[in-house]
Amino acid sequence: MKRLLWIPRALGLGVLAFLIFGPISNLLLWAFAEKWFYPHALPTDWGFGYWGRVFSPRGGAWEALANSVSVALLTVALSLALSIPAGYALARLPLPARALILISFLIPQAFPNLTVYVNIARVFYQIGLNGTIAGVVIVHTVHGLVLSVWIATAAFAAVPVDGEEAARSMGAGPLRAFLDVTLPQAMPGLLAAAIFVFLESLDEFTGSYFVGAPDVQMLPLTLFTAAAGGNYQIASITALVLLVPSVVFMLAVERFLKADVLSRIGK
Amino acid sequence: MQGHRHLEIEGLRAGYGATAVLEAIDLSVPRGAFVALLGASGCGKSTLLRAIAGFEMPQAGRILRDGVEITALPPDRRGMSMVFQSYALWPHKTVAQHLAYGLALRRLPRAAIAARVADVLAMLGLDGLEGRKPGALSGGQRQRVALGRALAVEPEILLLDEPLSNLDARIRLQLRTEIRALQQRLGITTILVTHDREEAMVMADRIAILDRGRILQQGSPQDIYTRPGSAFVAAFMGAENLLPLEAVAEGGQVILAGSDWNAPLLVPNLAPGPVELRFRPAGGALCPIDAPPPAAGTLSLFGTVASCSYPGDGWLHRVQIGPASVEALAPRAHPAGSRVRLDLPPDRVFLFAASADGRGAAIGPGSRGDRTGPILPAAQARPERSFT
Repeated sequence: MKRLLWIPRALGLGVLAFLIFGPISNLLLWAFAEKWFYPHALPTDWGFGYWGRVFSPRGGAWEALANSVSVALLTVALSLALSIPAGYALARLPLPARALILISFLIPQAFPNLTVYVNIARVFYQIGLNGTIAGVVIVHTVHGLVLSVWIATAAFAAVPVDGEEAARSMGAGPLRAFLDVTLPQAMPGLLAAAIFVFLESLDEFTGSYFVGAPDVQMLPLTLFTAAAGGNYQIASITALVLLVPSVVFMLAVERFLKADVLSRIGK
Repeated sequence: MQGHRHLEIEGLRAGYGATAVLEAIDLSVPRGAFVALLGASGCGKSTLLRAIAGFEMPQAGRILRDGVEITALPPDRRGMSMVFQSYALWPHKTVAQHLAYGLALRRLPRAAIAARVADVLAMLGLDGLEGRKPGALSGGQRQRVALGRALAVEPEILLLDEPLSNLDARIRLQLRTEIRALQQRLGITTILVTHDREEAMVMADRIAILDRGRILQQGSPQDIYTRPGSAFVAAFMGAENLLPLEAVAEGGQVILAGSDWNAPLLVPNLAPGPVELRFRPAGGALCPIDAPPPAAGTLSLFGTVASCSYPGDGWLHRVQIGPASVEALAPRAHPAGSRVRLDLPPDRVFLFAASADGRGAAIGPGSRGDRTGPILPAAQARPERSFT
């Protein structure tokens, strides 16, 4: 019985996502509209016809979904792998020009995305990264690092140093003390960073377009193609599919987050 | 109990850039001893402890354990356990996990760890709390967990950084004796950092007084209390009453010159010049101005009672004596405005060569100077204690 409690929670999160993305409710109508012409307020014909088209082998939705999710997960992994050491160093070590380093992560955001990505695409093309999953992951990571490094720095700065020193005093080496004491305490912040990076990656468009397309088909690109072609049904269905991994990911993270946040509040 | 030198510090200097927090620290700790580093905040005592623990890299000097240099060893390889002022407990681990942590790192078998954890729980009265996390413990219990975590690994040297300063007065007094008894039973060489004079005196068998990054004086609690080597140490050890006097040469002897508010007195080992008199509120006998004269060698001061209160253990008077207002404890009350005489026996009088910074060297009968015999100018009597 208790194990089924995730169902209402998932429903709750789904509802929340629905409310937050209120305008998207329009999508729902479009997703199931077989025919919807002016001046009708609602579609005149309902059905799953377009769902079949989207998810047919030729529709490419499965491939795009798999690409989007795996790119997002890889981006999260790469971002955390970089921002855990970076955040720790920025929060704990006596680095010169600490503020400068933190601000340098903002630089990619300081210029128009297009300018940055066109240049990246050119460089990637030369070294053979264009049109590969790796290329897209790197582009998304550059974008996600801003969030994850800043959040990770704040998370590590909030963990008291003496807990780690106590572990050292007990005989733990620097890495052991970090893994046993500091990392678990910084985990809620790091998971928050992971959520942001995941969601950012999932609907990132410009970079995916310049570096990935047309070899790496991603959900936002499918959406763009459909919407540009005036096919609102397919665009709407793709958009709804885009919501699924977000909710699943948040649900998974929320389970981890809960235990850790509770143990911190109890401090 | 006093074994060979367990821990030695030689010429230690630590600080940030050109600012020295510690300077020329020499300290020798015998095996099994309990040493207190006593000083006001900012004197460098915590930095010294952290340097011993390996968290602070000294700029110069050496730290030796059993004659082996450990100055550059990381904290996890020094065989020392530290108890932090904040306890530094891990919010995500249970009491049992805290106690087992160091043992697991030493790769002890599971059963041995469980047995040792049970021992420590019993030793510190933490039975039944092993499954709790720090958030569910009281301050005193947290302190015990921090102490238990440090003791579980049976360290050679225990470092205590103001371990009791965050506790209620009553628990503090109780834990003070508990820690002392435990240290005696286990025979662990222990270094305590504290700013609380009484705590240092009750717990330690040796006290080192720190000021401005230097050790001013070391010795047994009684030694430091009764023979403070400098005005600073005297004041820190409770002799806060301060009066300026003048020593003058007279007929081949040096005496404390009389004035409106003190009788002249011949004092051994005195050098001519301005002198600082320090004494504790309980050091003198307060009596009416017309009381019979005191025993020979007593320093008599004359003044007027300004106020009188009862804090317990007698009446505390504020007495205006000459230019200064001093405190004096007496078994009976003298009304405000009455003229009084304060008699200070020689062993309660601390005299120091007056210096601008109030850190003058000790002279006169209560000082260590009278051991050296010859009458010397104060500045030469204890040259190592004068910094100005």
